[in-house]
Amino acid sequence: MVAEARIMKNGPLVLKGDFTIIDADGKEIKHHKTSLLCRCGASKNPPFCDGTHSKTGYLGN
Amino acid sequence: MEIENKSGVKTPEVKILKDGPIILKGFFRFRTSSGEETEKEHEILLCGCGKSGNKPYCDETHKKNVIKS
Repeated sequence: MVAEARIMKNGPLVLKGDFTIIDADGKEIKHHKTSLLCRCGASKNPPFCDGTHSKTGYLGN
Repeated sequence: MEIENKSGVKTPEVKILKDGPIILKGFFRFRTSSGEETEKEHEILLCGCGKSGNKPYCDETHKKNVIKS
């Protein structure tokens, strides 16, 4: 299965399948089968989405 | 199970820059929020700060720290 990156309108970036994720410290994160990455910049658990976007009213294509 | 990718091809990479973009690089299917899909080699910078004027793409707004009143 080809890996997929999908943008959720007003929400996170959804990664499905095999990706190598490298965090802001340069550390390789074990990539999950499905990961949601924060696009709003306000997650308390970056780089992952923690739902904060729905509280801030983040709007993003 | 057969590995989907041709031998020697790396898995696509997602690199997160602190207070900056999310860089997607490699072969994968990219689907926008409007439903457009492209399956190919990509190198995409996505906004990770939430402030781009051109979402989902980075437009370097993250480099601007000053909020003008």
